[in-house]
Amino acid sequence: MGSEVTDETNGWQEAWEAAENGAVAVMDCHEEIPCNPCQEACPNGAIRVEPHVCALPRLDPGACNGCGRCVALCPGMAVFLLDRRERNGFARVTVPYEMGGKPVEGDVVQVVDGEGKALTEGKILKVRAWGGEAPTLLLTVRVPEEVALKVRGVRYRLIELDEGLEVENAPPLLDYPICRCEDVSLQNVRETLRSGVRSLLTLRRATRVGLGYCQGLFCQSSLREELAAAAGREAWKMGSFRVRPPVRPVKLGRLGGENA
Amino acid sequence: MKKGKGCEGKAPGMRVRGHPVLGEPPGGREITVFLDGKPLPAREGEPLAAALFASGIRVAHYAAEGREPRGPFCMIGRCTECRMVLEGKGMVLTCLTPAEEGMRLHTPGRRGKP
Repeated sequence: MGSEVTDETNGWQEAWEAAENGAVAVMDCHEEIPCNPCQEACPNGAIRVEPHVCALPRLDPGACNGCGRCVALCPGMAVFLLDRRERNGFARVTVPYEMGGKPVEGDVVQVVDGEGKALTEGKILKVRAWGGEAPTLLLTVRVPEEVALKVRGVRYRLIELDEGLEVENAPPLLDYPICRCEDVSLQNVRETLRSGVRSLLTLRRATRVGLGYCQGLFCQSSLREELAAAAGREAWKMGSFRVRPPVRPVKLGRLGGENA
Repeated sequence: MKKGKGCEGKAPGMRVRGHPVLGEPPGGREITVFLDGKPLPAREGEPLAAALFASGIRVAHYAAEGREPRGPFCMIGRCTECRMVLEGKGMVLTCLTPAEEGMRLHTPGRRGKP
C-alpha cells in the first residue's frame, strides 16, 4: 500500500491541503473491482467511481464535509478521514474499527499502518457507531502529522491473539460429515482410528470414506490430517488413496467414443 | 445439525442480471426440465443448479447415511454436494451441467427409497 502524499491517482495532495480546514476523506483504494458503496454513501456526491464500476474512486475534497459515511460503508475499509485543523503538528485521523473490545473516548491505543505495524500511540478523541446490531465504529485518534497518512487502524486488544491457535483449540464438530459422499462423520472416523487403523486404505475399507462419488477428492486431505494426528506422524507421510485418472467420474461410453 | 431448515420456498431474483463483470446471464431461451417428474422452468445453457436455485429448490440429494438434505455448496464441481441423477446420464454435478430442454432430474436418497 502506497502512503505517500504524492499519490495523485487518489488525490491525496488535495485532500492533505483541504484537511487544514477540517475533516476530509482520503481514499486508499487500489482495487479495480466492481465495488462502489463509497459513491452511494456520500451524501454530497463528492466520490465518483467513473467511468465504470470497476474504476478507482475519486474524491473531490472541496465537496467532502468529512461526515465519515464512506469510512463506515467501504467494505474494504479503504477510506479514512484526515483532519489537520489543529495546525500544531498533530492531525486527527478517523479509521473504521470492527474488532473486539469496546473502545471509549480517552483510551490510548496503538496506531498501526496498513500492514499492522505499530506507528505510534494515539488518544481516541471520538467514537462513533455506524450501523445496527454489529456497528462499524469510527475511531478518531490524534497522531503526529508525519504519520497521519500512514494510519490505517488501531490495535485495541492488548493481548495479541493467535487466530490459528484459536481455530485449532475450538472443539471439533463430531457429527460433521468428513466424507460427504458416503456421509461418514468425524466421530465415526475417529472411532475407527481408535480401533487401530493406521492407513488411508484401511480407513477407506472400514468406513467407506473416499469411496463415494468424488472418490476422495474432497475428503482426502482432512482424512490424512486425522490419520496423522492419531498416528503421531506428519500428514505428508501418511500416503494417499491410489490415484486413478480420470479425476471426475466419466461414463464408460464417453471413453468409448460416445458424444456428450 | 439442522434438518432442511430454510431450504423451502421461492427465492425470487436469484439470477443476477446486468452483472458488472459477467454481463447478462448466458443462454436465455426459456425451457422446461423435470424434477422428480414435475416441470421446472430453466434457461437453456444455465447450470441445472442455477435453475433449481431460481425456483427456490436448495436440496439436491439426501445424505447416504443420515438422510439429511444436502445442496449445492462450491458451485465449481469440487464438493459434489450438488449431485443429482439425470436420466440417461446417471449421477451428474448439477453445478456444471448445462440445462437442456426436457432433461429429467431425480433427487437421490430420499428416505424410503434408495
